[in-house]
Amino acid sequence: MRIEPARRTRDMVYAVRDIVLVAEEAQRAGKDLLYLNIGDPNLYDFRTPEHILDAVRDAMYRNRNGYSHSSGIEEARDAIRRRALSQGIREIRDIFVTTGASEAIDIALSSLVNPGDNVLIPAPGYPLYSSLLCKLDVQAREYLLNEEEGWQPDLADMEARVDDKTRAIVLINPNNPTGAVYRKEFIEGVIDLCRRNGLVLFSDEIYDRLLFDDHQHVSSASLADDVCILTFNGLSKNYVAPGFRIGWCIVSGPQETTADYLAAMLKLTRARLSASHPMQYGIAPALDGDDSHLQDMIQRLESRAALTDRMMNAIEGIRCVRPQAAFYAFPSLEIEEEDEDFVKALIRETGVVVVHGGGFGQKPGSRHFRIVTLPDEEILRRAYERVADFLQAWPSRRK
Amino acid sequence: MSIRAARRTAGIRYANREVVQLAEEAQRRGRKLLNLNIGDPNIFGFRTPECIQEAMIRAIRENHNGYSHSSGLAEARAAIRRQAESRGLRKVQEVLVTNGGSEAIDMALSALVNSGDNVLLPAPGYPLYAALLSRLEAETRRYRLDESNNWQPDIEHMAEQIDGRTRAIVLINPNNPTGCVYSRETIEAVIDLCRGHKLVLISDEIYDRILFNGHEHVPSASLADDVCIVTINGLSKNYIAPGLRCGWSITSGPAGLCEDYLQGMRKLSRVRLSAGHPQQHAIAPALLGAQEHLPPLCDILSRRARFCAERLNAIEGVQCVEPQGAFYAFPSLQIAGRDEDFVRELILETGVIVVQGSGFGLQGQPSYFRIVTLPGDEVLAEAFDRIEDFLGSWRRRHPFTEEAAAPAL
Ligand SMILES: Cc1ncc(COP(=O)(O)O)c(C=O)c1O
Ligand SMILES: Cc1ncc(COP(=O)(O)O)c(C=O)c1O
Repeated sequence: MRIEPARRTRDMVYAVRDIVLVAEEAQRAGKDLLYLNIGDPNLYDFRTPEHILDAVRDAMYRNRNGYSHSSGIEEARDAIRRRALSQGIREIRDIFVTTGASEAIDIALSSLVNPGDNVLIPAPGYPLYSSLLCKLDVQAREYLLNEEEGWQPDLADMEARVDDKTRAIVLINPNNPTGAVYRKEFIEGVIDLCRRNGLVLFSDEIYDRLLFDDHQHVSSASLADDVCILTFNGLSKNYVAPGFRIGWCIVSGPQETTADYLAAMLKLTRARLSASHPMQYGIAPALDGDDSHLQDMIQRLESRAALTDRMMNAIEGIRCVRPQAAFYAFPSLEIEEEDEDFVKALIRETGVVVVHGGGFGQKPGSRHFRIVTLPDEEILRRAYERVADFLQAWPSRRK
Repeated sequence: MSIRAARRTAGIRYANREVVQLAEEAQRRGRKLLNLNIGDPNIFGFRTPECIQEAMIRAIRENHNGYSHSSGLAEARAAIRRQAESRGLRKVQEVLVTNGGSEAIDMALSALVNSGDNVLLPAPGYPLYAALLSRLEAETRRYRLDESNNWQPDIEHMAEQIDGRTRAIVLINPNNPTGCVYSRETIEAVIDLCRGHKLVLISDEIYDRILFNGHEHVPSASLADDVCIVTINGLSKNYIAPGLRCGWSITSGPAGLCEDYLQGMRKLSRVRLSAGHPQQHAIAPALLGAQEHLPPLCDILSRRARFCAERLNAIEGVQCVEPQGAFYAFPSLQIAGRDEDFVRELILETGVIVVQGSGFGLQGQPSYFRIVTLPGDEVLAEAFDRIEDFLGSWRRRHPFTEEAAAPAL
């Protein structure tokens, strides 16, 4: 006899972590592994700014080790509000601090959708959304990002997927896995779609400070005050502290539109008591700080993105849209086989660990893989050389 | 137009929070507040042991600030397993480190129940469980804890609740809100039910080191190796570190029985990436350390528990079973009217903040309220004086008659 798990876990696949199993296998087989798969800056040459660490330490010494208010400490929420206002976000209704942006997204989806509803998510896109929808027994409908348009959302495709059971649209900007930053007119198009259909806009902006080559980030909620918009952000990426598990949600839009939904979200925040208390003391110093870590960080990320762009596009059979932000690239592969097969073989043969495009959703028939561009140039160069050699020898390329 | 919230949130009530709103109102009216409502030792002057604090700060300095493994830090999981085995837990299959015991409970339920399934919860019991089941569109079924038997679970009543859609029984031992510790025989009887009906036993033992007057805690999973038992624990209570949000689940039982269910829990743990990383470095030092904070903690709390019971029992119309562990007491009230109304008025009139029994899943008569025994002796004494006065005036205004006393549950 076996205890039967809930249906919600059955279809849940998490390629990013599942690929780790293949990597472990390769390691046991003696391969020299090059990790281009984990979006965790602290594993590479990036460090949490010192003043954030000091703030957490001081909070612990001041015995801020009990539960915090379920919505988060005042001082942190004030800092988040100031930042949001300075980005032009209007009609802020509430802010709550969570255990990573992951939990904010979980709470926001759980409070909104019933079984039978659907939510539009980007393909490709960060897989948390489809997993959470799976957990809720709710249909994830993928809309396409348009590779030919530098991975901007395909508004026509998005619109075609909205029906009367649609409750929300998810926008990840800057995007994981493509590294694209969305242009204002595209965001306005999405907002308009939400407006016309009474949908909530989930705007995941967790990479919004990691911008290259003078690209500008426009926060969705700065473009409308008549639509319910949830903006997700946190310390994980911009402030190099993913292990703190600190994120937040900014709820904006008209009072009467958002009130019931907000009340439901707050109920869920209360049930789980609070986010980590001492860690929350890192938020105000981070957001109010001088961001001196960013300049250096962006410089390194930018040159790694440029190297990726250069080397990937030099490989026959690969095309890569140059990332504009964050620390990912999503090159396409001209092969006949599934990209999952390609990637698993790549890991086993060469030790280069990347994640197949199928793990993020993609246009049917297309093939991709995701690169995390956090490793230093030396490692990236070695990895890309191995990819080039491996692809040349790949069956459907040899013909 | 207003955005409709999901149905799953409609049933969630969190009395603990509602009383906070009343407290704010009482404060505006100029009442001096006495907080007997929050199960957080740190706000009552208890301090997180130094070794935990130091280990976490060291981890932050050493750049353990990235994501951890989704299941938790290897060294922490090994320490949890070691402690579990030394306390007699049998056939430990997996340890998952989580963001508080709360998240461990969330994963244990989410990986198990489909909508329409049901889970047995104690009445009275910690409200998180019912909130999570509501979120999962699963049904809560309450079994009675028997006040006349030191709040032990009523096994017959428990058995009556089980049907074909029952998936698990939740045991909270030591219990929040009663402070009672369950006997070996009681736990064995619950395990028998799980065995007979192929149910998972979720054993919440988050207060298992906070015990008074020689009471012993028997871990459920030490009594069986043929049932799937998920033991919940963490740093929040035993180690006075609730704000670190560091908890875990220990799944034990036959490997084959647990495996698919465990896969489900592991998948859920991957989706949310990891638990807080630096704090996980405090787990091994906490569990393997000298536990020097515990004797003084248990000492103070056991004195307060006795004081609470004695003082409350001296009030006409109040009865209180003396707590055997944790930091709560759950007195009953002989009053006419709803507990909710009594508590609302108590807070607004006297500033003493407690939570009504219905917030813990107990409906009807008699009425109950929960007090947290963490505040200092003077605060408690002052609170009980105010409660006594207020109760007298309530009973004069709402005469108590036997007809008003319909049986609970
Ligand atoms: C687009 C996006 N959103 C949210 C998250 C979750 O981040 P966290 O839970 O660490 O805040 C990630 C992490 O990789 C991400 O890439
Ligand atoms: C019985 C019980 N279980 C679980 C919890 C959750 O604790 P945490 O999430 O802080 O570990 C509590 C907190 O009050 C509790 O009383």
